[in-house]
Amino acid sequence: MPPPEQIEQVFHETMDLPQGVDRGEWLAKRCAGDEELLREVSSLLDANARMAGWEAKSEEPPRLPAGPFGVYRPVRLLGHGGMSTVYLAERIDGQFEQTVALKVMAAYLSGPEFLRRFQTEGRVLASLNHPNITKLLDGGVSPAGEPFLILEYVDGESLDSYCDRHKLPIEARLRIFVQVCDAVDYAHRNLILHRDLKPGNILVTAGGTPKLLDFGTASLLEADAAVTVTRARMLTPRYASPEQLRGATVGVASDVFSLGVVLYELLTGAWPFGTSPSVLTDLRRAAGEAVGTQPASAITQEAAALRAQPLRRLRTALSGDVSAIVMKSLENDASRRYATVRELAEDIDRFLQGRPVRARPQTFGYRAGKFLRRRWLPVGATTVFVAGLGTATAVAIQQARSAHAEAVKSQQVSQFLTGILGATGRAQFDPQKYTVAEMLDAAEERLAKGPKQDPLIEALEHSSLARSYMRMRLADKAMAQLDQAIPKLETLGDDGALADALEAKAMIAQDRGHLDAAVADWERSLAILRRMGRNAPAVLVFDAKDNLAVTLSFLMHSQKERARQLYGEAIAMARKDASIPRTALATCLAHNAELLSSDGKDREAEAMLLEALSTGRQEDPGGQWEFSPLFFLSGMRASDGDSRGAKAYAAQLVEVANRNVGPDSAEVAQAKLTWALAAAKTGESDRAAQAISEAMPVIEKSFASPSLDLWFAGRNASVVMRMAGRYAESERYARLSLKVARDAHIGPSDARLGNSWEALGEALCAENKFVEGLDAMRQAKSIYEKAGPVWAAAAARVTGRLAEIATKAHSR
Amino acid sequence: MPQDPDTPGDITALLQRWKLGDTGALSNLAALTYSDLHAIAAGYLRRESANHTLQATGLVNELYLRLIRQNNLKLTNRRHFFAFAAMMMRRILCDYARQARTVKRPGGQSTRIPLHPDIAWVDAAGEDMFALDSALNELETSHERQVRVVELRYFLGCTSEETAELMGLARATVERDLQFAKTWLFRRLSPQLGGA
Repeated sequence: MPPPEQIEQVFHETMDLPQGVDRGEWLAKRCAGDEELLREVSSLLDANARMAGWEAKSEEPPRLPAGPFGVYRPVRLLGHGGMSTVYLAERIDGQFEQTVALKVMAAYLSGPEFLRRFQTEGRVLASLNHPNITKLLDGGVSPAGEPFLILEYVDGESLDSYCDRHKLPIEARLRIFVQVCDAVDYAHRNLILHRDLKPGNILVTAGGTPKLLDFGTASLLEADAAVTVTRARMLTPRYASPEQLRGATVGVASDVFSLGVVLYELLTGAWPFGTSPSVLTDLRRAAGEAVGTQPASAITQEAAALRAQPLRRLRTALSGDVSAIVMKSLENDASRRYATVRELAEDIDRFLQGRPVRARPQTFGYRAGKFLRRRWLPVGATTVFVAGLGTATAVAIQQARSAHAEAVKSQQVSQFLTGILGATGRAQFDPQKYTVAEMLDAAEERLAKGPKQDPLIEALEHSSLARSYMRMRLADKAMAQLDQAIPKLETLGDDGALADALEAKAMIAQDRGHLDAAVADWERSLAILRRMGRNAPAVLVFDAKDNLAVTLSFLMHSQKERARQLYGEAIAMARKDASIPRTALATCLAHNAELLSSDGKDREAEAMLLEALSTGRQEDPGGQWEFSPLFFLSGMRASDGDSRGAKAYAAQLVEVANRNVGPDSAEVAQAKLTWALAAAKTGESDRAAQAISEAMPVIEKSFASPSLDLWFAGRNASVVMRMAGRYAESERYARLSLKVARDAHIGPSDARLGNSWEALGEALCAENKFVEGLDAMRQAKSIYEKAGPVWAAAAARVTGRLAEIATKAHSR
Repeated sequence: MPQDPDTPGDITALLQRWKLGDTGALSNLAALTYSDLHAIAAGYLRRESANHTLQATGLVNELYLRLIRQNNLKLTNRRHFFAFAAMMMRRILCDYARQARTVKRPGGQSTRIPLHPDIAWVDAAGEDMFALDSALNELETSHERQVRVVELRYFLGCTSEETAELMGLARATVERDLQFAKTWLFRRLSPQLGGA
């Protein structure tokens, strides 16, 4: 016998021959007289050919069972279920022209446990009456002892192939899916879990109506746990929830997960956890280690074609809200998914109507972003307001403790919202005549003077009003609401809502330049979140860490080590946790880059900013979040002496702000300022000065001292105006920035104070006010010298300027 | 045997010993886990024919989760764990088929459960399994690696990629090994295949 390796080798060589080559001839030559080798490989090749033949033959249809099954007989095979076979059947007696689906339980499976399951399905189906669930018509046991069910025959195709064949776009797919959710939710409300939801169990009729089939693995919600565990093993791993894979007791959230996989596949054509399920992926999923790929990343050219949309557009459509909805359904932790299928369906409805979805992690930035984007839609102010306030309230409620209380609360809060509109005292409420701020005031009044209610709900309403005021940049009013909410939440011990309110308070304090107060509130919020452990909403933890780090480093320049650590934790967390928006991660990366740059690590900082841009653009290209990275990138290019590069980023910044926030906004004004700074340095000082005189009035109206945004704007405006030769304005803006720097609680050796002094000194000297000017420059120098090694260059620069100016002053 | 069969810590230790070349550890391992695995597998075969393939997942799942929950199973152990689980699965399925031969199925009509869609000609619930088992023993004498690949791929249900990862082979090698082993097994088994 030839050595096994040789047989193998020659076998593969022959198998690999291209089509058209005569294998026999080739092989005879290859074996070159080794008869045994030739015989062995030939017989293997022959077996291989027969194997292929067997596979082809096995696709022949199996014979039909004899029956009869009641008054029905099988006509043809429709498909195999987990433990049964389904046939198309017709009446034997020919009394009616009626075709039905006949479901026959596999004979070898019959046994007491299976008979019971089969009967369960019959009972379950008989009790359900819903347009999207197949109806049970009859049932019994055949003469051969096979139990069977007679079901409404649905002439349709499976959900996935229907959508693909019709090349349905995303919205149409979502609309069909919502109907499926209705059916599942109906079953849940009748205390029935489906437990085997998959596209093959959802048929769509020619008219486009989805019908839910196969309650063969259904279980009653209240069935005893032991039975549930045994049954849990019968599942389709591809759509099974992690808890199902673990063989644990499952609840409504398990059906939510399966629907999530179905939805994911409908939208992307891909499976969220890899190419296809296997032992290893199932184990990772069972252990809760697998995280689904973001839908936008899973989409392929081919899938886009089946959804009648260009790839890029589809990617954009599948990021943001849709992604948040799908990923929330696919959470490993059942308690983090939608609590009910109804909530899932409602969120999809909200998305289809362009309203904020609940799945989206609720951060101030997101809500503001959604709110501002919506402002450009032709809708009445009321809708905007109610949706906005509703979302804010939803956050607070989401974080409230008991699931049961939630339903009651959400109902009461929406009654409160409806009540606000009545509170204006007019029968005919005309939303166009009221500003959002006026409506908020009406809400505030009603909350203050209205009848007393549940203290928790009252506290949550104060919180949500505060968030709404924040969105309107009405900081004082927001603070007043938070001052009412926080003590109440402390008394009630509602940790999640308290942490949220404290973060809001910190954000306002930071905006006002009360940095110590902001830090204290964030620290408290973080301590509470830490105490909550795994129940702490990930987004709150992330936000608190990011914001606290910003204040500690970027704004206070004090505890950089702590800031570094917080950034590290927040970024690591966001990289692992898909529930945190990529845009939030991008913003955090931009903040961290600012810290790196202040340590002199410009190269690393710039790389991180570019990473921030590419990370955020996966989710929301051109969105408002781009503001931070573009802003810092422009600054980095400028400090590198590359004014053209700086101007290019600043131009993008103006565009992003214009598109997302609108032309009269503070954001556009800030962007113009950044652009002006770069433009002044590339010789366009007149246009730059023009941009400053457009931007500064908006900025001075939007930010009150000691806002650090105002400090920054004042300093830059001063620099640009000086370069344009408009010295009086330069002095005025320098004084503005100095006032803000003094009002803000930054340290006496903070470089920004030096910055303001330097700008003032330069402006004064340009105006030939040398005594005062040189004095200001000396202040700047002494501050830079105390500000640390990174500022040594600035100190040297000012020292040089002092000498130059002194000479110039003498010569006059 | 000195080990307490309920202590998974011992299972991990045995996996370690097996990895280090102690072949005796393998039979101890088998003895420790066999009854558990067998009970679960028997349940699967009786009930499960979803998609008309055998689902080994749940079976391995239970054992694996039990191990990682109580004793952090490291990556090196993981490879061995899966190789071991695949061998066990093969043993269990063959034993099950042996028992099934003596128990007449109700209803008279038998239903095939293909072991795996790739080798659908093997009925996991019938006599094909002995034939396959002894054919694999025979193949193992000349092509040991191919048999391990077959076990991982067809008995445990790993994908080709995973099989490659667990065996430390290139994926193309796994595909060739399967092609060869499949052909070899079909040649050996085709005269006696139940459904063919």
